[in-house]
Amino acid sequence: MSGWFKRILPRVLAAELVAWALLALLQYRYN
Amino acid sequence: MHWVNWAVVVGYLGYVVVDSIRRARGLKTIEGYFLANRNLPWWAVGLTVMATQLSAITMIGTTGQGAVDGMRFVQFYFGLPVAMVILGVTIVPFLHKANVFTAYEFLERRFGPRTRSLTAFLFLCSRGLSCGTIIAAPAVVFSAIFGWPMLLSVAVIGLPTVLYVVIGGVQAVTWADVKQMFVIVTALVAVVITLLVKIPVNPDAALSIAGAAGRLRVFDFSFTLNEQYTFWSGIIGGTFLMLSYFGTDQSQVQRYLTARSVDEARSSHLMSAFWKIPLQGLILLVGVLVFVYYLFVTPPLYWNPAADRAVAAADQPAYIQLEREAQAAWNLRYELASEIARTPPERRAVPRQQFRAADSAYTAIRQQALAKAEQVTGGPARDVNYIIPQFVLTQLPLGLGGLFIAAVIAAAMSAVAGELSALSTCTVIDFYRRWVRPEASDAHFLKVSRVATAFWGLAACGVAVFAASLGSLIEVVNRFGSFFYGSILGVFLLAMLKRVNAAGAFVGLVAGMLAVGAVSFGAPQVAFLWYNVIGAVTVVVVGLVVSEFARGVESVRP
Repeated sequence: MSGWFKRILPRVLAAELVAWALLALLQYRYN
Repeated sequence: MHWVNWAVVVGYLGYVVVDSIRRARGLKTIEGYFLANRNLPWWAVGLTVMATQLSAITMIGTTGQGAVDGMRFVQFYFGLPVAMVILGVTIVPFLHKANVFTAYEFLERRFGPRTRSLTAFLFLCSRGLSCGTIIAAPAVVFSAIFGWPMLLSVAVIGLPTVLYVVIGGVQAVTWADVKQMFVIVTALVAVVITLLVKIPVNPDAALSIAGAAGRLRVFDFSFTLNEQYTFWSGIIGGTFLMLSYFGTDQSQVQRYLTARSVDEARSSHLMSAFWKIPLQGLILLVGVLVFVYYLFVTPPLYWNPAADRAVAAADQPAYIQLEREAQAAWNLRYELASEIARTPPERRAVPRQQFRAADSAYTAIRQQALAKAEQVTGGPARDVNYIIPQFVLTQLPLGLGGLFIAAVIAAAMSAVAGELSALSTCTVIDFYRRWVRPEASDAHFLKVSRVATAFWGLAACGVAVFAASLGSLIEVVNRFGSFFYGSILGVFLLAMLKRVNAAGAFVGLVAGMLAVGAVSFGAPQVAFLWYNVIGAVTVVVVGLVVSEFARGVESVRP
């Protein structure tokens, strides 16, 4: 696996988890 | 529309076209025309990647979908970030280092001219028509709202785009896209701020009301192949779709081939990986807030003015009756929405429940009204596409309405420009230079490229003008297009495996398309996002098996 992949994948996954967390907050706080 | 709004629209269009043509100076080679001499910075490429994907349908259709269906469409993009990282270590470095003009050119080096020509031909057919629908969608809305003939609406969107792409090539497309993305995001943020100011309750109460109506339901974890947007279809089917789109569709491949280096090409994709979901969330949130806004301001019976006029003229008593019923249901819903806003958060359960029932009653009357419109006009009402344009033109402050209309045109132009540039590249590189005239001067190829761009631009405008009468044809082509999207991804995956040969790739491609076709006709309830998974997996499996078999036959041959 390339160094780029190892470096970038955790950052992208972290960003996606943050986006999901915000969307989940919106859903569970107001639904 | 007020003349100030028109001035904003015309000023913006003029600026984009003039600036793009200015950038065409010194253009002498097809490398410059199609790939900007492979010298663009990552951030400009990243913005053009996002702009090409974002069309006017996103600006008016997706926002409208947010108003009637809520936020759940955002799940469609859940596979995108992961797909971008996978592409960064697979197809992007492969294609960038191969020094090709088109993705299909790379396939010939690996599997011969047959596979290249078939994939390139499929791309030209599907994108040629889809380019027309990208222009047609906003043009239909503009025609209905401004009372323009369809030809004029198509010309306003199509002709400036064709002009700057023909003259400036990909350089003009990219720098126009940078400006377009800026206008689009500015308009969206400005509309959200305006909505938050104009909605007569505080943001917490507004979101509570939207949530009570189910508009803030994002996640659907049910595992069913029949539901279009679920968490799983987004994560699995969406990843395959995004891998196909960004990895193998020339309209996207061409974007990152213009980057200065492999690292810059990868970085351009990371912009989408980080920002696509928030941007799509913002677009849907605009729709959700417009829904809340119209809980406090009486909406028209029909958002589509043409449908409204048609029903009123065809059956006045029914129209008046529907309007009266809708008003009564809206009044009750308004009272209950106000009640939620007045009640402290911890005691909102009862009014929220009552509001939900009132919202269902109002929606049922609107469904009756839409059924009436469809009966009168003889076609689908597509009312949802008119919600945001009507809101923008009647409720936004002076100037901001013009900015939003400019953003809708910008979104259409940027998507069309990317497609036109890709269609022209594919025509010239994969067919003209490959089969008709392999050796000629750069000046000759540049001239042919401009003619090809103009041809595809005018063809797209022609398709757009006749989109209504071509409706079923376009649907068939779109459906057929979905048969090979995942399959083409499968061929590119096979290209990266050394043990696969040309026969395996070609048979695999045909098998993948047939498999998706069989599912599409045999089990039409399966959501289209899964087609990409089925296509790609079939191609890879069949391709590997046929390659092994062909090798076995070769080795036993005397």
